[in-house]
Amino acid sequence: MPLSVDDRLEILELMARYNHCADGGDGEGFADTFAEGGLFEGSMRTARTREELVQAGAGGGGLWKHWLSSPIIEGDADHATAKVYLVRTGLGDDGAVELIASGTYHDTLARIGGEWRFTHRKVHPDQ
Amino acid sequence: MPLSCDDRLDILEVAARYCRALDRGDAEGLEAVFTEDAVWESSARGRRRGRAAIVDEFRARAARAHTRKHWTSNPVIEGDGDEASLTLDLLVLHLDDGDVRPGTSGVYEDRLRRDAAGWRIAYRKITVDGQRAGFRGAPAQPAGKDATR
Amino acid sequence: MPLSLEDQLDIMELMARYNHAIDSSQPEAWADTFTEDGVFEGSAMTVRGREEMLAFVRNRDQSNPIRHWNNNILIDGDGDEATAKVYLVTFDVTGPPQVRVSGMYHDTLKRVDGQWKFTHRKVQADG
Repeated sequence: MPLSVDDRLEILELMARYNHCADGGDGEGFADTFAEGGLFEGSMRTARTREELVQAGAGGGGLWKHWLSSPIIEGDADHATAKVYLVRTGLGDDGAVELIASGTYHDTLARIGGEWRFTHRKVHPDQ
Repeated sequence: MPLSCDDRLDILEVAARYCRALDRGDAEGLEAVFTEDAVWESSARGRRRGRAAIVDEFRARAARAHTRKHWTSNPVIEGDGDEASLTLDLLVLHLDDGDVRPGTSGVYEDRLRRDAAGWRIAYRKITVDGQRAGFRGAPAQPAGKDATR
Repeated sequence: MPLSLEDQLDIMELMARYNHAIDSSQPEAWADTFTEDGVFEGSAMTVRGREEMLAFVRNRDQSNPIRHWNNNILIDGDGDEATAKVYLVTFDVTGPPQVRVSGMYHDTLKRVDGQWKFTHRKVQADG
């Protein structure tokens, strides 16, 4: 069974929540976007345990913002893969926005207890 | 009743129409996305009460039309029945003399209401990054301070 | 019949596939986002039909990697035909991302064998 409209919107919202948590330094919320045992392979660190994920999510609070574009989501009722573009911005000393880095997330997701979660999220940096 | 997928896409379209109207200096387009009693509040420009006052605020900036592009990302929508909230990140690109560069970034925190005309914005709060408590260590600054510093 | 939610999400995903295909220089994947007789009208040139599209991607300068980003997607349509307006920027991602082009796509689309494709995609550059 292909992904429903509901599934596709839920996965898009999961990606948005991930960014809000990473940018706000909400480590618990960040870890909640992953399935238990889920693996995060960022450009700066890798996290697998709940404790590591909480740390990874809490580390960037207030330092930057994540932006996404061009999501491609494929899957069936309970499993999905996704590719989505990422840009990270920060603020310069003059208060103007600076574009810091870009890349693509390669995701695998699963629906667990009725909710979509990342089982693996890997950043492929452009730079 | 929880929001349907239709509601969610409609709300995202309202947010897109706001950006496009603003960037084109399209006052009628802007009018269409607000409820009559809407409140618009900015960490840089203060508060405007009522759709007419909001549209006047943007008419005053019409000279800037086509030199700013409002980009958004990371929509999170929550709601029930005819009421919804939307949190949305904002990046403003500045176009000057053929050069495009990022200007300011911030966050929209909105409340939307549905009536016979569909979903519209009843309250929009804009907080510019750097004027937001905790962003890059910057203290919260009072409303009215110039966004561009 | 107005467009369904699925149609709208499919059209958004078509735009994402277009971006990923052109940015990773995949001629077939990019041409697949257009109908056989589709037209791409760029700022400097126009490409018509599948053969020209394949050649266009094959001959593209790939020395500076770029990323196409979209935002504020507005879609109107009925039955098997649609139009769309969408913001575009391209980032040069050789180093920290830099905005190269800002503009808007004006699209007309058609559903062919159950899949949405561009029949005409025109770039309107800002400034």
